[in-house]
Amino acid sequence: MNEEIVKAINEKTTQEEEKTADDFVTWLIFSIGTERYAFASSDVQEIIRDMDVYPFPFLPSYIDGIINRRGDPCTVINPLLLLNKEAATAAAEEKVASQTASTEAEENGEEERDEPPVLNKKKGSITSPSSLFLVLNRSDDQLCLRISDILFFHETHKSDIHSISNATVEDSFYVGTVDYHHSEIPVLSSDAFELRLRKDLGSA
Amino acid sequence: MLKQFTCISYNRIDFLVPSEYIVAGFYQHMQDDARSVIYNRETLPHLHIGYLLEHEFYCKKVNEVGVILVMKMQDFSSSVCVAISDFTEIAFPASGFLALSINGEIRSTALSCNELHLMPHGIREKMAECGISAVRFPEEGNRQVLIAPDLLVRKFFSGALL
Repeated sequence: MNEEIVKAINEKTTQEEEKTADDFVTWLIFSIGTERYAFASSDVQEIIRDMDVYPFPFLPSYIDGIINRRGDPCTVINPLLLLNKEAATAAAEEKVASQTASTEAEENGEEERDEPPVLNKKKGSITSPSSLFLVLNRSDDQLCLRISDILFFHETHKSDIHSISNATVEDSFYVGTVDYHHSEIPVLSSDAFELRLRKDLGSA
Repeated sequence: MLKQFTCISYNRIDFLVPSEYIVAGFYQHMQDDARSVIYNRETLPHLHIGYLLEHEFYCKKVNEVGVILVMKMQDFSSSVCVAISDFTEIAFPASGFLALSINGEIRSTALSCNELHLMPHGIREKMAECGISAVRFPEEGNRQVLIAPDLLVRKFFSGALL
């Protein structure tokens, strides 16, 4: 008897839900070093903590290695080295200093370290800020970012996002900013990290 | 599908090589810079790849005695064979065998291919070029890396490790 009405209400409700879902975006706000960044929560598949990072050779310096994600390898990117020039420079200097110290130690006949440099053991180091990883939601790769902390989730209307136009190459990791309590938080692009990886490694 | 692998163990990392590519493996104390090895009354060109593995994978040798792996030149590209011959100044013998040495421990192990995982897409091609084909995590804190010795040796010659 009321089928038509129920159907009409149902359609209306569905449309409203779709409209609401389309108009709002939930952001995951996190920190890398001292800076805050945002990812659309739909870009993040998982947050993992306290994993050993296994370094692999022949990779760019901003790749820390891989983690064991329930048996599957997942590439760990250290975004600090891509987003923050000062950190990148400091990390490069630290690397040179570390290599020099290692060479000097070898020359002095000092004992080698017993443990391989599993990177999460160097807490506090600028190149390895933490053992917290954001696994990106990608169908084409297994990729995660090493971050410092998860801060909060924040929902905004689409109109609160300020897209970056005329982005330079340096800005290409950012798709825009999102307003939060009168401050603007840069929004990162997961595609940009993947593209950078493929560009640097010559992958298809 | 179960496959037989030769497992070269360092501290917290194992390197896996399909056993079909290994003609023989034996322990022999020798200098790392020795350019030849005697095997079956033949003089084989010899490369010590242990340093490359230890340096690139941050691993530490577990013993001082070298392990010699005898392999066939047919499994290496001709350019790599020429490079090996030039570097060692030893011609390949009639058998076509060559020797690679490391300072790990070796054992034979059977593994299902399903237990190995390809590297993540973004780095897979680069890793494969350098002789790193797949990985396995047998336990927390340890990893097994499937290597392709022919490509790794090519990397040996292209790097500044000589």
